[in-house]
Amino acid sequence: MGSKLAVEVEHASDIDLARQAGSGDELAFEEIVRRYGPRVFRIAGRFFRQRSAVEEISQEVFLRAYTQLGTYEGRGSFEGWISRIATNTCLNEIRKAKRHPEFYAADLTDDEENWLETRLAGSSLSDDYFERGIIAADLADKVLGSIAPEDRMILIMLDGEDLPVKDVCEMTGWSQSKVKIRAMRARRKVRKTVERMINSRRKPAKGQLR
Amino acid sequence: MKCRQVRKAIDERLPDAADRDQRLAILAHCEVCAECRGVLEAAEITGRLIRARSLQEIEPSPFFRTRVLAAIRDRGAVAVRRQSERMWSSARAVVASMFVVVVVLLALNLFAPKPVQQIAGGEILRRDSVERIVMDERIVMDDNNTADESLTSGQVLDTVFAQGDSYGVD
Repeated sequence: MGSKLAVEVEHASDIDLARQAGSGDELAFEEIVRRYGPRVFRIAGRFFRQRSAVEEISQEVFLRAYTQLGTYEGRGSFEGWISRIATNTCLNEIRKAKRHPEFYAADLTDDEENWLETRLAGSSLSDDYFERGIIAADLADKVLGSIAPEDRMILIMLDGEDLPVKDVCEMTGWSQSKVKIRAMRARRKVRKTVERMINSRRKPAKGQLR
Repeated sequence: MKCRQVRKAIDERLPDAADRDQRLAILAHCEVCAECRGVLEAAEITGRLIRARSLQEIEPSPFFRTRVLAAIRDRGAVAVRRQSERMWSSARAVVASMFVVVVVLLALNLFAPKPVQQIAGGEILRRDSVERIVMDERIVMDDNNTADESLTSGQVLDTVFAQGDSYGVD
C-alpha cells in the first residue's frame, strides 16, 4: 500500500504534488524536495560556496515554498516558481550580510597568484587542472564579491552557465534590456578589478613604480 | 574600430557572440592597441574565473529531504503554539475590557447625579420638584375652588411661582 502510494507520488504532476502537499501530504512534499533539491542547490550555489551555507539556505527555501504552496496556481512552471523563491531567499540573505568588500591584489593567496601567472603566461595546462579546482573559484569569489549580489548572479548565469537572457529575466522579473545593461556594467566593474590585479602583478616585473 | 567601440563590445561580451567579421575587427584592433589588448585579456580571464566559479556545484546530501521534513514539522508545532498563544491573549483582552465596562457602569450607577426631567415651557426641574408641583396643582384647584381640567402644567406653574415659592427650580 505504502509503496503503491510512493509510486503514484513519483509519477504525479507538479501541480498535483503542489495541491497534495498544500493540503498537508508530507509524501507529496518530500517528492517536491527530491525533484527540485538539485535545482535549489544550484541556485544557492551561485551565492554561497560552503556546503553548510548552501544546505541551510536550501532548507529555508523549501520551508518558504511549503508555507506559500497555496499561492502557486499552476500558471507558470513549478520549477520557475520555486527558482524565484530560491533566488529571493538567497538575495535577502546576502543583503542582510551587506558585504561588498573591495578587492585588493594583496589579498591573493599563493595558489591564486600562481593561477594568474599561469594564465598570463598563456600556459598550456588544461583548464580542468585549474578551473575544476577550487583555486579559480576562490579567486572568482573574491573578484565577484565586490559587485552587488544581483549582478553576481546575472554574471554567473549568463557568462558562467551560458543561460539565455530570457532565463535571467524569468528569475529576476527584470526586462531584457535591464538585464543586459546590468550585466554589461557588472562585467566592466569586474573586468577593471581583474585589470588592476594583473597590472599589480606586472608592475614589479617591469620595474614600474607608481 | 575605435577603442571606445572595442571596449563596449568587450563588456557586452561581443567577442564571444558577434559574427566572425566583427570578432576579427575587434581582434585586429587589439593587435595594434596595447590598452585594448589589456582590456580583452582581463575580460578573458574574468570569463574564465566566472566559468570556474559556476562549475563548483554542490549536490543535496541524502539526508537533506529528512532534514527539510523535520524542520517543517518543527515549525508546524511552533506555529500551532503561537496560534494558541495569540488566541489566549485575545481572550484575555476581551475579559479585561468586559471587566472595565462593568466597573464603569457600577461607578456611574453609584456616583452619577440624579436624573432630571424636562417639562413643557423648557424649564428643567428635579423629580421631587415635579411631585410638589402636582400637589400644588391640587392646592391651586382647591384654593380657587374650581376644578378646571383644562389647566395646563404651564398655567399651574405660573400660578405657583406667582406665589413666590422656588420649588427647586434650577
